[in-house]
Formats: sequence, C-alpha cells, structure tokens
Amino acid sequence: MSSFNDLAESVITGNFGKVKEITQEMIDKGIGPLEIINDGLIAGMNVVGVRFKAEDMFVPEVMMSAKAMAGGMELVKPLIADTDMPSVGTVVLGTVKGDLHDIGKSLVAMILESGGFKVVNLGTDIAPEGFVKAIREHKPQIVGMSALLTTTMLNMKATIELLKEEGLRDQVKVIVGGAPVSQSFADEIGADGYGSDAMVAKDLCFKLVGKAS
Amino acid sequence: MHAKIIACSTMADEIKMVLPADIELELLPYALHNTPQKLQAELQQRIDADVEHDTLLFGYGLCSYGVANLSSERHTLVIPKVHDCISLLLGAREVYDREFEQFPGTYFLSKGWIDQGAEPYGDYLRYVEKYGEENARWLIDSQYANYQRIVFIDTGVEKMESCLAYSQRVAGFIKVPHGELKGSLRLLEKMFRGEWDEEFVVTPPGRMVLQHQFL
Repeated sequence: MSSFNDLAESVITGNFGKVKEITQEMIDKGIGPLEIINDGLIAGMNVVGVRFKAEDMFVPEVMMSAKAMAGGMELVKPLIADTDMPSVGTVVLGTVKGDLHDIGKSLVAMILESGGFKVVNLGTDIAPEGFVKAIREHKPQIVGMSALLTTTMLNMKATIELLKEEGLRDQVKVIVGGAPVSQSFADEIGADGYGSDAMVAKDLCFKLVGKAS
Repeated sequence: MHAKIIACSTMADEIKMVLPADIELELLPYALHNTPQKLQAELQQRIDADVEHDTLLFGYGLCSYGVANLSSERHTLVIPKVHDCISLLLGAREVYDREFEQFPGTYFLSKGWIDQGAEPYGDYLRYVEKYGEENARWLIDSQYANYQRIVFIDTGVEKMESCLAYSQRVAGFIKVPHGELKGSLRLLEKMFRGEWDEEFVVTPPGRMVLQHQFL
C-alpha cells in the first residue's frame, strides 16, 4: 500500500488525483485522520514551502500543490472534530480594500494552516471595517494584511488606524506582506511584523504567538 | 543637461517615438517588477555604472518597490510620479486613478505587454507546455478569476491594429469584456523637455528616492 511518503510526494508534485486516491485508501485502511494530515499532507506541504522559498518551485506549482493538499483535506476533515485539531493560534488574513489579488495571500494561508494555525481567510478587497468585524468575531492573535498594488498599500495603514480607534490594536498583532511592502514600510505604518515570503510569515506568526516553529 | 533614460522594454516603442536625439536610451528586460527587490538592485547597478551623464531619466514608475531607495552621488534622478507604466502609457496618473476607481480588476494591455506575452493567453501557452492542458486551464482560471475586463491602450505605435485584435482575443479567452483607451505620451514628452513639475519625483545627487513620495 501507499506510504505517507507517497502521499507527501503527491502533494509536492501537485498531483490532485493521486492525493485523493492515496488519502481515501488510507482512510479505508483505518489510518487515523490526524496522522494522514500531519505525516502525509502537511509533511508534503512543508517541503513545498521550503522549495518555494529556495526558488526551486514557482507560484503555479505551489498552487497545484495547494489544490492537491486541499483535495486530501476535504476527505479527512469530516472525520475529525474541530476540537481534535491542535491549533497554534488563530490568524485572520485578507487583501486590503481596492486590491483584488488573492494568490499570494492564499498561499500564505495555506502555509500557516500547514504550520498548525487556524486561518480565517477573508478574501480580497477587505475594507478596514471588514478586518474589525472579523477580529471581533474570531478573536485572532494575529491579523495579516496583503497588498500587491502600490495604489492600495496605504489601506494597510488605514486599517491599523481603525483598529486603534476601535480599541482593538492591543488585542492583536498586525503583520503585512505583498510585493511592494518592505520592513521599513511595515515600521512606518506601525505593523508588528513583515513577511517577505510565506515561510517568513509562518516563522513570524510563531514568534508572535510565542511558540517555536 | 547631459541625460540618459533607463527604461523598461515594455515601453520601448513608445519611448522611441518621442525620444529626442540627444538623449541616450538604455533598455532593461521586461517584467523585472515581478521581483521588485531585484528590479531595485538592477536599477541601482545601472545608475552606479554610468559615468557619462549628469541626469538619469526613468521609463519606470514606482513599479512596486522598483525605484525605492535609489540614489546617486553624481546624477539627478528624474522619475515620473506614477505607480507604474500603465499611468505612463495613459499619459497621467489621474487617468489611471479614474479607471482604477471604477474597475479595480482591470488587466491593461499595450503593445509591449503583448510582445512579452505578459497576459492570460501567453501564460496559458507556457503553462500548457509545462503542466499540461488541464492544469493550465485551472491555473489561468484561478490566476485571473478576479479580473473584470481587459483594456487595450492604443499609444499610436506601429502594429496597433493587430495588437488590438489580439487583446480582444485575450479578453474572449478569459471571458471578460474588452475595452479600449487612447494612450498619451505627454508625460514622457514632458520628462524629455525637462518640465519636471509635481508630476515627477526629482532626486538631486546624494539624496534618496523614497517609496512614499509616490503614494
């Protein structure tokens, strides 16, 4: 039968069909869902993250890996209660107002999920009020904002300002990322951190919740 | 003024159309903005390598992070105060802002964008070759899911008609409406004439270009 290694490898190569097939086979054999997730699906995704950072893999390939992993997760998730999924912390993620770019932020979401975070992915074009609402609802430790455009990056600042006005700024750590964003921009707008790529974002989140990655 | 313009190949045809004879043109490869830090490093290298001129003009906008933190000990650096080449091809930041306000999900095409294959159909062809038809289709659908329209900018350079027809086919390919806008090279011309008013970020020798000057 297929091994965890085969499952991880199928995630790495982005083979959607194969990931579903192996996952189902493992479920049928009675292998525990958490084992399938951790030793197969996430193990594969962690390799993807490292290769992506090293520029051995590119965005389309990572997207295919993410899709493959999601295909496996879909089969396993119904088998586990929410409370059984260990969580390092909760992160609310969104692309800022006016910006419709989704892919980079969603890759970050996936890498964070693979790292054990519960991620609430708000989507794109999220107004400052949208972030406020999500913070009240989900009580995350971390809020992550993304922007690909220089026309929209100042909405990160606007969001931080609104968090202050609403008295929420001290309850959450704010991290930012996206092509035009830099550490100095993050400092300028008063964010708590900047992730230059998805792996850095993951390490940053671990640091901000006070845990080792 | 002894000047040179350092420009992205995306605007090569437009720049050549209005470039004065006494200004030298140095073209950089397409699409360096995809890795903004690398574009920045490349531009700084070109600045440092030039010892012939006292003024460097840029056929770039902010381009993500591309011109942030550039500096020179010997040159005055002149950069159009725009987000990117789309405003440059449309002739003014305001024109771009107006379009963006109405349709944030616009994918703009011009001759240069089409020439380099930086558009959905070009991506599709590359993906098919690398990942097969089914994956390619899925990747394109995901990548361009949020785009509402394709707009072709007619800047008046050669081969406009075939570019326009191609642009319309690209819109059909990702099933969005197609629009057309008349471009304008007024910003480029203004830069070449030395009229560096509030539409430009002018950085004297020894000073640094800052990202927020463009925001």
